[in-house]
Amino acid sequence: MSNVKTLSDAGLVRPEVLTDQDKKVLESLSPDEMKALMAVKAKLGDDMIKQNWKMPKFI
Amino acid sequence: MPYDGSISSCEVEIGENLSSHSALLRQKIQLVSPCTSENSPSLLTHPRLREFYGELLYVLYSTIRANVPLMQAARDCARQHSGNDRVAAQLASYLERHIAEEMHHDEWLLEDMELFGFSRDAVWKRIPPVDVASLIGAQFYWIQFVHPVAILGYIAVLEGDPTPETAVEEGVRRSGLPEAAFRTILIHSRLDPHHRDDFNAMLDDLPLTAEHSTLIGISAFHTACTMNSLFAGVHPE
Repeated sequence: MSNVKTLSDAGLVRPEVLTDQDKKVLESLSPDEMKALMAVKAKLGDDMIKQNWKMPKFI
Repeated sequence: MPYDGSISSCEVEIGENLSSHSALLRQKIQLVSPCTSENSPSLLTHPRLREFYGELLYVLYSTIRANVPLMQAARDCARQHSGNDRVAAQLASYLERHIAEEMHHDEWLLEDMELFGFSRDAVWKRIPPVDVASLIGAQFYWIQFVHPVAILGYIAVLEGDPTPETAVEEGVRRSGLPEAAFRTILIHSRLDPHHRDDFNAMLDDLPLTAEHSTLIGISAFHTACTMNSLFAGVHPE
C-alpha cells in the first residue's frame, strides 16, 4: 500500500490537498519514518496544524 | 548496547526532484511544520508579544542551554567511530566547527532575560517543560544507542528556517520592548542563514545510507513536533 493511502486511511492527511511534491516526499519515506510521521501527525492534531505563527528557532 | 558503528552501507536513493539530502530533509520537515511557508508571520510580530515575550525567552533558554553539551556528546560519539565510519568522521569534523560557533549563546540569552527582571537563580531553579526533556533527551538516546547522525535532524529543524532580521526589528517596534532584550534572537537572524548553508553543504556531502536518512528524518519529525507542542503553550492565539 502506498504511504499516502496509509496516511489517508488513518485520517492523517487529505490527499486532495497534497501537491505532487508532497506525495513524492511521502512515498520516499521508509517504514520507520512512516511510523514516526503517523505518531507525530496524530499528536499534532488539527489545532496544532492550524497554528499560524512561525516560531523563532535557533541553536 | 551503545552504538557500535554497524549501520549498513547501501547509499540512499534520492528522487528526481529531491535532488539532495538537504532538499529531501527540508521537504520532510515541511510535512510536519505547518508554518514553514514564507507567508507565515513570525511570532515576534504577534500583537500581544509584550505579554509573553519573557516566557518565550525562558523556553528558548531551556533548549539553547542544552545545545553545546548535546553537540559535544554527538561529536565525541562520532569521533569514537570515525576510523571505520565515514559519516561519523565527517560529522565529528562538522560538529567540532559548529560547537565553536555556538558557544556561550545560552549566556547571551540569560543576559537578555535579566533585562526582563529574571534572576539567574530563579531561571535555574525552575523545572523546564516536559517537552524540553523530550526534545533533548531523545537526541542523547539516539546518539548513544543508534548513531550520532541523528542530531542532524534536530539541527535542521532549529537552524533551517531562520527568523528574518526584519521580523525581529518589527517585533521590537510593535512591542515597545527594549531592543537589547532581542539581542540573541537578532544575532541568530544574522548568523543562521550562513549556518544553514554550511549545514546543507555538509549534509549533501555525507555518504548517507538509507538507515542514516531514516534516522535523520525521524529525529527531524520528533524535533518539529515537540517544538510545536512546546511553543503552543507560550503564546495566546
